[in-house]
Amino acid sequence: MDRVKLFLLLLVVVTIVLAEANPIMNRVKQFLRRHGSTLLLLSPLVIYMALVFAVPVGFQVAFAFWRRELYKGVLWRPVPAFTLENFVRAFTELEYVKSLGWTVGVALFTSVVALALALPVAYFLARYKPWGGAFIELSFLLPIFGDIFTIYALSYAFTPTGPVNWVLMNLGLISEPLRLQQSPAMVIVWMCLPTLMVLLIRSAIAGVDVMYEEASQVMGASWLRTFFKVTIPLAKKGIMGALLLTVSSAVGAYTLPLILVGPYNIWLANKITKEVDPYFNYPMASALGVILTALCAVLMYLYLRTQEERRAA
Amino acid sequence: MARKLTRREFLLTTAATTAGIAAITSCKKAPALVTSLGEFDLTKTDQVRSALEKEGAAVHITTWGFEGLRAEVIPAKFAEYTQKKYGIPVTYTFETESFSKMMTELPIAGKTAADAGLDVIDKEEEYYPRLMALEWLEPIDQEGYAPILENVKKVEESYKLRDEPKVGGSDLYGTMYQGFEWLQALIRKDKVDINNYKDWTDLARAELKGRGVCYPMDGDSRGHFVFAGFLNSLIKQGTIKGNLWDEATWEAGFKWWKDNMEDKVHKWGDIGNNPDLRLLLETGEVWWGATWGVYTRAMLALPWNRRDNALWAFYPKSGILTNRETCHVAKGTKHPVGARILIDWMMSNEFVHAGWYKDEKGVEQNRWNITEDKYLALYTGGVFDDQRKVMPEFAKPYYPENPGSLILPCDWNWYSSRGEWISKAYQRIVLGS
Repeated sequence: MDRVKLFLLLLVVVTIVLAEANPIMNRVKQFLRRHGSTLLLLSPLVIYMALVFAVPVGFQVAFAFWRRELYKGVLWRPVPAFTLENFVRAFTELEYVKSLGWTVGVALFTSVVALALALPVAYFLARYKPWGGAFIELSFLLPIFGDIFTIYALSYAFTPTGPVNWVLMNLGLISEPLRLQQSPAMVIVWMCLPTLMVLLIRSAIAGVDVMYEEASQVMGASWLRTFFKVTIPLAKKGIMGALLLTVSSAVGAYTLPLILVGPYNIWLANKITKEVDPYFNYPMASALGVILTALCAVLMYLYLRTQEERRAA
Repeated sequence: MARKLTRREFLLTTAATTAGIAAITSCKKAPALVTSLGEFDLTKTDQVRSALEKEGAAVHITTWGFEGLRAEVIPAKFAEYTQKKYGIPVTYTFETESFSKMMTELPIAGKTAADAGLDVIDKEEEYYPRLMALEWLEPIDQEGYAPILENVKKVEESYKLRDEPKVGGSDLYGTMYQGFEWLQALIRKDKVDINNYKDWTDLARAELKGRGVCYPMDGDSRGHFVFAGFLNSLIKQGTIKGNLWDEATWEAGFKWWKDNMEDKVHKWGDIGNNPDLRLLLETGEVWWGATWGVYTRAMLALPWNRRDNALWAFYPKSGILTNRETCHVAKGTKHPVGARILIDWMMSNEFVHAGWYKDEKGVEQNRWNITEDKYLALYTGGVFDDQRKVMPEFAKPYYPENPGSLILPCDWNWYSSRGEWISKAYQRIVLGS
């Protein structure tokens, strides 16, 4: 009821202001006349992003500066405050530093490996248009569409009685099953899979005019030199976009480490969920979330800079 | 001829109208709720019906229990029960949202469980100190409600949570509907000699290396309770000195766990609930799994085990920690009568036995048409003596003779603030991180 009254009061104030503010209204009307249709088209997304993204992020940022207290000796609860303690802990306590370093390190490493694996395949698909190309492209998407299925299949493959150990033992390479489950190696293997990246880079390379490559080779450059000096620089925009997407999703990895490594994994997303429940440390979880978001924002900034350089060039 | 309104006049008129509406709405009377029982005498059935009618004949509960029945069977049976007893069907709705999150988030907004629409809170014992700290509960047995608490009256005192502050002499803040519910283990008796397994620490035998499934120690109270069983056993054996509810003892216990138990676990998780992990036990890839008593019995009754007779319920002799489902009334509930009637029904033979029990003449009937394995997961020993006598015959071999002798009391006040400390001590000592 109080909220309804507050809303009505605001409505009264706004209406009076509007009634008394002719010059401002005229300028608003002019602006709307000129840009009204654009605003109308933009508004669904802007409203959606504000509600679904901006508001929660705003709360998250605010919580990051709160602190936690033990209420009546039995209940941890967040308390409004302005403290940098959570950020200090995130960058000084070994537990969080390791998690942060590991998450970012693995994300960068696996993205670079995925890129190295994706480039030749993407080039092949873009330039040679093989028979069954659509099927090959679709096969790169399947691990994403059914990722839970794929992850469980991988998890099974590495069990002590699974096919990997079975093959190794029957080949006489090992005498007892390797304990590959609950090892971060499996997550790294999966993350190195170039999936969407192949398709994004294929499109970027397909957008590079073949004439440039032919001109380079006519002038005496080898195929490899042409690829690195002509094709890749011209497709840099798409490649960087693909890399950004891969790194961002790898930095926020949660389900994959949870299923393949288990609840003890040190990926940052897992740390964040643990801070929320069962540790009830919302401020710390928010601070870690803010750091993760800032990290992605930095990556986005670097990506945009490559686009700016391209425009400037 | 009427003068045309200017835009300014139109807007000012609108503002005045809106202000008028705001003034009128502020004078509107709040909707009537049953806030006191002064007007109802609950000794009379028609008065109970009137009270239920006035509060909306509905009740909302947060619960994890009764998996598979809570969506359809329980609402239908509760409506049937209230219709038959009070002449009005009460609508039962439930939610399974993380209650821990609610306990953290609602206070930030200055709200309580009742503000969030909850009438009954059905949570494990471990939540009780935190619920009391939040002042989210009111006594179930408040003055005037006694006539609708027939089954609650019969519940043995050991299953009741009485506390301060007393409200008009009433102090019953919670009552359990699970007689015993603990964390024990299942062992594949076709893989090991079960005569060697008498206490928790026997699970550290070399033959079980990489053969177990256990709840995680990191942030999972179930893992902590299993560990507490080990720790208690170690204290009783004299391997570790100290009090069970002491940080130094837990640290010493984790050192023992690192040297003796860590390598016995093949996978961390909930073998009772997770079909993948259950499959590992069925295929023989793992030979033991720590789980709740309800799942122990349910898995013993699974068709594959009835065929192979492979599983053995392990009751460690030094004791087991229980964490029983307990019902509470949310303080300030909008459905105080409905909430108490639901709690009373949850203490009844019908609910506790999931409809499968013997009537006064000793005739056994499966009224809810449930399977045997489901019954074994739902019935947890009853909360008063007569309740135990009406158990169906098939179920008797699955229940221990004297569960009370195995129950290890938990210091919930000590544990409530140390979940994070325990998890991090485990990581530091056992995992070295």
